[in-house]
Amino acid sequence: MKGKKTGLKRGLAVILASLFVLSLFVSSIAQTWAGKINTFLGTSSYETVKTGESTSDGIYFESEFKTVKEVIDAKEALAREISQEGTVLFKNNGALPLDPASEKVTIWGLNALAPTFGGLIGSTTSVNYEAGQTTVTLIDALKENGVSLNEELLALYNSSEADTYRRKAAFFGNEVPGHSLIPVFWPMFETADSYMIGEPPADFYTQEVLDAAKDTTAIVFLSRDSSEASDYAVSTMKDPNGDNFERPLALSDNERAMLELAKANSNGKVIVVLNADVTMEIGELKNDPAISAIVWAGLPGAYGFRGVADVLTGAVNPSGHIADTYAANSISAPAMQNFGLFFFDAPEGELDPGTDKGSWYIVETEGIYVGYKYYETRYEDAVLGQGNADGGTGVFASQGGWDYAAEVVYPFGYGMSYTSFEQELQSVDFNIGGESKAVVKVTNTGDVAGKSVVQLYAQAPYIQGGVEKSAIQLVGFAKTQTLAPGASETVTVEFDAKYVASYDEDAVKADGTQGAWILDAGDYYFAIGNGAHEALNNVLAAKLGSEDKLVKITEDEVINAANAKKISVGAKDIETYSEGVQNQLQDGDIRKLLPERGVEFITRADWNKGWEPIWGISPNEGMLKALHNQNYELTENGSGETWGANNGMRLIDLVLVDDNGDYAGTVALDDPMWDTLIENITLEEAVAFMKGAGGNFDPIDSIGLHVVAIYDGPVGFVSDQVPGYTANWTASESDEPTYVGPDNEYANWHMPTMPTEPVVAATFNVELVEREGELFGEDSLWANASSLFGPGLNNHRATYCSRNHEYYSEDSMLTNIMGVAVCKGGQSKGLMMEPKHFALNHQEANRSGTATFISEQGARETELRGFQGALEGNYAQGVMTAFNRLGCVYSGAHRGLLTGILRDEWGYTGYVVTDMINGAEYMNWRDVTFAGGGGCLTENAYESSIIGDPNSADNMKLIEKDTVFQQELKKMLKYDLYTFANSNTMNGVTSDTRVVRVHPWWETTLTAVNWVTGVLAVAACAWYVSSALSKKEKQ
Amino acid sequence: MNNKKITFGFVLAAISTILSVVCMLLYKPVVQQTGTTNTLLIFAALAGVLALVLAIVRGKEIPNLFLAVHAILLMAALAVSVAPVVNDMGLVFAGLYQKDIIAAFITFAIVAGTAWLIAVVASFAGVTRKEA
Repeated sequence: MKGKKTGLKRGLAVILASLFVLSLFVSSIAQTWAGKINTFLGTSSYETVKTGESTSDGIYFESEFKTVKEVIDAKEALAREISQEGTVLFKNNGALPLDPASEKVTIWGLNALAPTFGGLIGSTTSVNYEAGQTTVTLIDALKENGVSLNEELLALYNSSEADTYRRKAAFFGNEVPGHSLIPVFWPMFETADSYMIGEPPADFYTQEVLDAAKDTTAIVFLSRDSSEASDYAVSTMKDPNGDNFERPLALSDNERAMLELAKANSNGKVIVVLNADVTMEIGELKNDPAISAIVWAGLPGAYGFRGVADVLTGAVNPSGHIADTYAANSISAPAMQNFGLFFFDAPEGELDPGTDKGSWYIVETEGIYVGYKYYETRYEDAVLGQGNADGGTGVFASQGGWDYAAEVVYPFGYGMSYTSFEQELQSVDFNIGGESKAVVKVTNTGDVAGKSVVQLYAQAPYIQGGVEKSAIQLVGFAKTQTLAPGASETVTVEFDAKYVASYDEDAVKADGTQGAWILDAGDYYFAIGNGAHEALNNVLAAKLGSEDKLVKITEDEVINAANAKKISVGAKDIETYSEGVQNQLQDGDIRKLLPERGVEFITRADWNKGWEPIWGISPNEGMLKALHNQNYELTENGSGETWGANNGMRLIDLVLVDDNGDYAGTVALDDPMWDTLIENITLEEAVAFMKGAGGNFDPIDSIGLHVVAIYDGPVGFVSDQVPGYTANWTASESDEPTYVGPDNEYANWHMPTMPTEPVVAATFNVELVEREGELFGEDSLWANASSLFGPGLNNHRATYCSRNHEYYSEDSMLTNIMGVAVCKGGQSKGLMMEPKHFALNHQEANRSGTATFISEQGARETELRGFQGALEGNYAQGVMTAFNRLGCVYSGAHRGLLTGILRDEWGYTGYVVTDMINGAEYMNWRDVTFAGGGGCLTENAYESSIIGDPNSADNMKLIEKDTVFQQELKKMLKYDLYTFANSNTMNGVTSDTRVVRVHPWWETTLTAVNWVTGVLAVAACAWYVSSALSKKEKQ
Repeated sequence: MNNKKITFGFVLAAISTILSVVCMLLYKPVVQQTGTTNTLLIFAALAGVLALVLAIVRGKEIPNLFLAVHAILLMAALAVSVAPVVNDMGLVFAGLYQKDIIAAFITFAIVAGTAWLIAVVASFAGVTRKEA
């Protein structure tokens, strides 16, 4: 009996002690996620209090609006305007614009009821239906514009009979209409069968519905969705309802059947609307005379379909130009030959896909020939009869040899209008080292008012077998005001000659360093055109003096040699744009890492080369070492770094205020006061900050830095991270002018998300994009969130990347200019825009740790150029590194990229953070910090089983001895603090502001649970031990 | 010693100890590891082995104390191991992420949780073997 009682006590003691242990760790995890929990519960762990000594209001960045409702209205209106100007008219046989007064319209396409508004995860469309917000479909928008719709087919689509075919994807426990489940990483082949096009077969449509559609105008809605963390796959995707397609971006059988029904049951007008940011295969629509018009809407966000409807009804004249090449076959680009899953052929057990994240790779054999730079360059060479351009290699849609007209459906930059414009290139000033510009006169020669885009392209002289050069490249653009019929406007397109230069990895400069931006001697051509192809044709017409061999692929294309200007450069220049420049990315070129493998890249010298998929690379010893990560070892290498000086300096002391008390920037970055400030921070605080930087930047009590909030994403703050305007405010901040309290009518409204980046790019309107940045900044002020993970500035290397909706274009210069504009707008409101993903994040399939091999010229002229403007100009104040590797080294720990190019060449002064830690072994804190990679985005995953938590006692002992590492830490802190001090996160902070730690109710509850379980555990253990002892005594 | 009966608690403690060793193996392929978990698992297994050995060679209450420590360390190992995968679990349950990234962790967690439960039951029963 006594033994049973002891057993009971022992068992209880074990349970209670275990619960106590569990409780402690739950509290610990909760503390790690405190920012997210606070945002979710509307609580805070810190409060700012003022001692009353300062007379400043502490408002350094002010809103232009008086209420949050005004911000919401302004964003919805801007979203409409962006879509008005970003909607692209590809084809129009007179069916558009619609006449709402006389035309009845039948909407074909189940997907029209639940279109794809944006991408999933980082660009999720934010709408709080419970609070009264709503999304606007094309159907809604057409009705708002007075269009009479045929309700018969809509009723059938709304019926339960259509449920089987509706797209829906899981997203944080909710089913999201408008999305299918794109295969989440290719290794999971089982998900490939669940990809849904989302359209029913022909027998779904009843005779009554078809009869009702007769004599109406047909709008056929075709859609493809997009999502982070997934990619389209060429061969493994299947529709569970049996819809067949040759490739997922080609039309499916059900879509073709629907088009046939629409053609047979309409008034003869069939208008196709494309709801997709990936480039679908639409050659058959272009060539079909029964298809009256094709309109690209992209993924226009929650409110953008209003802009699309405005274009369809003629309320607005279309002026958008497509930001990608529409190829006849979606896999015909060279980049598509090396996209997806390629595994290293390494000795068994050498590379662990779990921990190393170093098992897979891609080789970007296309080099600089991405998008139109491939199609148009090969076209020129075919016309000129050089480099085997018209041969049989790389042929996907041509009969016989390569034929541009068969391979390309719509060229980059193409777009139509309801009117016609005449553009005249009047002059070009090309000044190496100075300002360059082109002057263009634009005249509306039609009978409808509208805007026109002037696109300026350049061609640098190509030397056969020399440095690779695109036959045509965008260097600048401008958009006119609305021009009335007959009206003219002269626009000036300014451009920078450095973006005409090519990167020569072999050039040796006067200072002896290797690698330079070069401008070869020879003839440079500058041309305008409705897209890259027309501009190139103008160049070729000027070069050849004839149009005989030139190919037109759009009916409205005009070849005009006068719209191309030749400027001759007498001597080769390798110095002007090469100051401080040298090769930094040579370890990313597989040809140099493994010369014996003989990998060939695409080259103008011979278009037959570079098309082979590069399978089974066997990494050498050096590559394996890099793929194993942990390249920086902490060592004892000096002493003398000062930490925890307690000198009284605080961050606010470095913010400058003018005589009127208005914000006047900060002390310059090179001022020693920053070093004095950082000496105030303890080493423990610095390490904790590095570990916690990014999810929300942790506060640093010693210098009065409060929490700096930072959230996704490229289309604005998304609701899964900031669930409403009030979420980030605390009552202690209620005296700030942009405070939104919980009792505000719009407290729980989500920040309206904007059209996706490809739609924004298609506007070719810098002012509009800068305004978008300003309104992101307004959201920042009214939601108390100072940094935004956006825009996405990676290029559209391959159209099967399902994250292209977060990036602007296949063209790095268009991306560059858009990035500058949106970041400049955000910065004007104190918002720290944080472009991502730096760099070469070109596929989501196995994105964690993919080794990306690329030539340095390819990296610099395609991907990096897209980031360069915003980062070099310091318009962006943060940058997020990518999941992938550059060569074999994790991009967030690549010193050549982050220190060599970003800091030293570009002079970037903002902060750097990693992407979410998807593997603490390869995204490890030692390599990241040492390379200049800054802080880590997700603190909870920062611990590595190999090198441990940076805060651990063992690692702190090592860090204390490693002066080099500490100096890198200080550099990171300096950039971070300088950036914060120049942002609206300082709003509300004055010299008498103190950050006070408070305990929200959930924290108090967890503490209470810890105490209760602790006391019970101790009591139970004591009870058990005393019982055991007494039993022993009796024995 | 050979005259002692194998008790229900002893069998359970043996199973739990074996499972804790299995946990060490199962934890190896977990992507987001912590060194602390590995250490806790080693000590949990050692405590279990000590409980069993002492039950055989000595008996009395000391083996039960080690069994209790074994159970508590198992819980600690399990709790510590959760922290680095919270993010991944959220994404997987949302249908947005690779299951195989945390499949190894889920297997480990199930086995570790089972081992803990068995150890708790063994604690109630007691690991000490009785005289035959």
